[in-house]
Amino acid sequence: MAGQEFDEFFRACFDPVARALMLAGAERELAYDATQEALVRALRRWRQVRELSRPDGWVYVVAMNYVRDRWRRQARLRRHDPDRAGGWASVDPSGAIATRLCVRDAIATLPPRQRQAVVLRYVADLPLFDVAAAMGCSVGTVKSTLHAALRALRVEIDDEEDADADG
Amino acid sequence: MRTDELRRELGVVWAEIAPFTGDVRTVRRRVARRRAVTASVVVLLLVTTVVGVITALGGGHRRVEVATTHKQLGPSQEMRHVSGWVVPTDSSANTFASVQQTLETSSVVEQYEVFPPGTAAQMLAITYLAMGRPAPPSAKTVATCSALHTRLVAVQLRSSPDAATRLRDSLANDAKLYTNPNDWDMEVVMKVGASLAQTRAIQAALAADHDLTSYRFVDHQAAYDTFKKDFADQPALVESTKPSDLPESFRLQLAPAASHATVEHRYQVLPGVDTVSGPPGGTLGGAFFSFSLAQQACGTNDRGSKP
Repeated sequence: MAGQEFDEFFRACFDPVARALMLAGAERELAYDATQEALVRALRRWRQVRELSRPDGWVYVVAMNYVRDRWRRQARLRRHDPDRAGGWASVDPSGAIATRLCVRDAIATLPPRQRQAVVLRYVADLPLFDVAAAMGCSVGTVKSTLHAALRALRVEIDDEEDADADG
Repeated sequence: MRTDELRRELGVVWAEIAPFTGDVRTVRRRVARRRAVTASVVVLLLVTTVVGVITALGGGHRRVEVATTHKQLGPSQEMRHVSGWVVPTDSSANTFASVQQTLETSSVVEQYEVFPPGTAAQMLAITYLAMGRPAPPSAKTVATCSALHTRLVAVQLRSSPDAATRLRDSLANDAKLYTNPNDWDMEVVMKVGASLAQTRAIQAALAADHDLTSYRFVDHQAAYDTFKKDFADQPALVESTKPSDLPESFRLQLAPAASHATVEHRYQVLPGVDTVSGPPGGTLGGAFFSFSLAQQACGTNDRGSKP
C-alpha cells in the first residue's frame, strides 16, 4: 500500500516545494495550498507518480500550475494579469541589479514568468522539459525566458541549457 | 556570477524562508473524500444508464400500447417534420400524463413522438442529429432533458403562426416547448411589385409540387409584423415603412428526399419571383434581407428625384 512510502515522500517534499513556490513569488498561504493540492493529486495516482524518475518534479509541476491558475483567476477578478503586470517591470532590470549583492532583491525585480523559470530550473533543479510543462509553454520559450532572466541577473550565460535540452 | 553561483545564492535565499510543516493526514482525508465523490458519481452514472436501457427496452410494448391514441406515432413510423421539442418540467408520471393529455387535445398539434428518458433520450437525440432528420433537437433541449431524466417529445404543429404560442399556453407549467427556429427549409421571395396573378400562379405551382411537405404564405402584413418586431428599437425606420414596401413570400418545408437545388431552379425562373433563398440563417438575416429590399423599393424614387 501507499502508506509508509507516501508519508516519507510527503515529509521530504512538502517543505522544499512550498519554499520554492514562495521564491517564485507566491504568498505563503498560496504556496501552502498549492503544495498540499499537488500532494493530494500525487497520492491519488501514487502508483504512477512513484514510478517517475523524479516524483518530486511532478509535484513541482502540478503545484506551479496550481499557483498560475490561481493568479490567472485573481487577475481575471481584478482585470489585471500578473504575468504581464506593469508593476513588476517598473524597476530597471539591468543597471541597478548588478550592483546588488543580494540575489533575493535581484530576483524580486524579475517579471513573474522569469522568476518562475529561474526557480524551477535552479532551485527545483528540474530538466527544461519539466520546466516547460510547469509553465505551460514550449522548451524554446523556457530557454529564451531563462536567457532574459540570466541577463537581467548579470549571470554569465553558459551553454548548459542547450546541452541539457539535447540530453 | 555564473550559473552554479546563482544556484548557491538561490539556495541561501531559499533557506531564509521560514520552513513549512505539511499535514499528511489532511492530504489523506482529502484524497478519501475525493475518492468517495468519484465513486458515487460513477455509481450514479451506471444506475442512470441501466435504468435508461431498461426503460428503452422494457418500455417497448408500453409505447405501442399508448401509440393507439390517434396522434402519437409508433416506433416504426417517422415524423415528417419536427416543429419543436416538448420537455416536461419534471420526470414524474403525473406530469407526463398531463403533458400527453394536452398534446392529444390541443388543436395545434398534428403528431408527436415520445422518446424514453435519461441516457436513451440523449442517444436518440444524437441519432437524430447523425441521420440529419428535418429538425434535430437543439443541444439545449437535450441538455435540459438529460439533466431532468424526463422524456423528450417531438411535435409537429399545424402551420398556423401562433401554433407555438398556443401550445405553450396550454402546456402551462407542465412542460417547456423548444421550437426549432428553422421551421421552414426554403423561402420563395416575391418581387415587391409582383401582381396578384403572379402570386396565385406560384401558389398553384407549390400546391401541386410533390417535393414539398407543406408551404406557408407570408403576406405583406405578416412580413411587416416581423419587420416591426426586429426593428422595434428603430421607430423612425418602422414608421417610414409601409407593409406594401415589404415583399410577400412563401416558406417551404421540403420532403426528406427533395433537393434544394432542384426546387430553387424550379421557382427561380417563374415570373414575379425575386429570389429563392436556401435554408434560413435566422430571423435577423431575413429581416435585413427584407430591409434591403425595402430600401431598394424606396431607392428607385430617390434616384428618380436626383438631378
